[in-house]
Amino acid sequence: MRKHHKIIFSGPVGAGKTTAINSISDIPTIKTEESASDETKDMKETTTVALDYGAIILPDETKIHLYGTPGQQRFDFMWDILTQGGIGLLLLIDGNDSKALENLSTFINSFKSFIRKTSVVVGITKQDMDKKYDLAEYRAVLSQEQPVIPIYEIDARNKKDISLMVETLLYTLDPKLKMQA
Amino acid sequence: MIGIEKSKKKLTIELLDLDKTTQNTLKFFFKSNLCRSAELNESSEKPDVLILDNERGINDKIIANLAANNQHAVIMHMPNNIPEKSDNVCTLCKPIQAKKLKDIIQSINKDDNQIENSETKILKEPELKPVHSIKNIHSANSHIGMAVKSDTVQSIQNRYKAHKHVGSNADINPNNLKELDKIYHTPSKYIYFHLARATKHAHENKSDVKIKTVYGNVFYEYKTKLFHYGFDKTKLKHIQASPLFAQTDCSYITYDQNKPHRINLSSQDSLSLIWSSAILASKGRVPKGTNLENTVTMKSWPNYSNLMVFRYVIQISSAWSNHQLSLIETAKQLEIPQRYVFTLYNAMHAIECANISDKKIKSQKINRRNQSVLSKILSHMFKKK
Repeated sequence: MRKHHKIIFSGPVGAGKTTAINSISDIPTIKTEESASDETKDMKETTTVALDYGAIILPDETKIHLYGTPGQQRFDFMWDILTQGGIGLLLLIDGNDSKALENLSTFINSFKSFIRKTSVVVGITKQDMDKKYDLAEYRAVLSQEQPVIPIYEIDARNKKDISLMVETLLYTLDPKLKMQA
Repeated sequence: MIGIEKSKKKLTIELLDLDKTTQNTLKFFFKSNLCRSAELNESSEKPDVLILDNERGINDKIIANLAANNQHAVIMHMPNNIPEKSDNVCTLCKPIQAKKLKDIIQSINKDDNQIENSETKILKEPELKPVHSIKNIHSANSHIGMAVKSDTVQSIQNRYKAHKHVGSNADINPNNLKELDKIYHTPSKYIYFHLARATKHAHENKSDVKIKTVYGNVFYEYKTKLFHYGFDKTKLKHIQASPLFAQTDCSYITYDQNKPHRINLSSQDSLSLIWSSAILASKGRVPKGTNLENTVTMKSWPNYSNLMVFRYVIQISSAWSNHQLSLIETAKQLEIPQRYVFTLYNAMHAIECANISDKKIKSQKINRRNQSVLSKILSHMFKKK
């Protein structure tokens, strides 16, 4: 049976998961967005209720699935299912949210067992807007984590930034990784 | 009669990897009537003279290479950082004076014309000269000379591309004390050290800091964590890469005193300025006394989305975040030149993201994963970038 390879995008509502997948996917992304009905309504008009899906298609046709988890914590039962067989986690945090530090801690803890088996890279989005915390404050939240978790300030719309996160994820999995000719 | 008397030929000049301002100035110099004995090389022919900047990665090896290949070169340098001269390599102190440059070009031209005259002589009387003297001449226009020059220009251009930020030091053997000098520098002789020190003082004393440099003042505003300076990027690069003339003066001033001076100043995030300055100063070296055998302790991951990066930075950081590795062992296990590891360590140390452990711990072996898919994704992402 052909093995499925997945990269998981997670983070709270409005952090930019859908945008990030869209910026590196080789196929049109499939969005399962619905009109927001709960407290999410105050943040954006639609929200992901099941998952976002995109894919990287390698030259030999191998598909790397890109899954975006729903941001609301009440969907956290889905996170375990989605992470099965995942290569690693790209965690996006909305830097414009006053609960950003709390969110970072919550998501890291929720994915702890998955991260232990794989790896994680954190991207703080919207730092160019009204940023609530400095990068040093995010680092402080993760100061007890070993190995040191990569944290970048990123723009989810920028392909280069998301590529940087993917590249970092791959090298943290294997620093000796070599590019294929 | 074989030889034909040649008219005095103009030297062809190639400007190699100079900053824009210098390049434009020299272009004007050679295109105007200021120097009639030389012209810029606009053909695909190999140039007679290369003009290079010592502050852009020139080292003894390159100079030796130029000399060995009979390539004339003029190396511009800062007064306190004089490169070694050789028969073919002249040095020219900055700021560049047109007359001095003209004199150098004329003296090279004179030498070349002398060689050409002797070549003409040889052509006239080939049977009278022993074979070795013909080989020794290596005229600027002989086929041998052309081939050698072609290699030199090509190799230098390639070297600049690959080693722009990390210098070109070869790997060293840490047990050979003589080699250690090549990879050590004194941080206090470079601006990055003073920038870092200024930020520390500013935050400790809750006061802005003024740093005096050769091109003017650099201000650090502790509330915004920004540096402000009033000179262009070229000058900034000079300050970042060159050793300082004298002890840089840091004075601590209050915001109100500082404010009137900050009109029309460029601003830069403090970490990114310290980081880039540390890279440009390092050129493949680490602070004097850095223990090469003890392991690196990575305290936090640099924000690479916002910093000057070069090849291997993520790979090296990943290795340090996950494994206990010394600087030497990092290069060895990742199979990359030491200068990349040293440069990154210098920058990470400058912004306090890494230091060297006090204890000697045996370096860990990096275990490989099943690379196939990961390598494919990596290659795919790089192509897409």
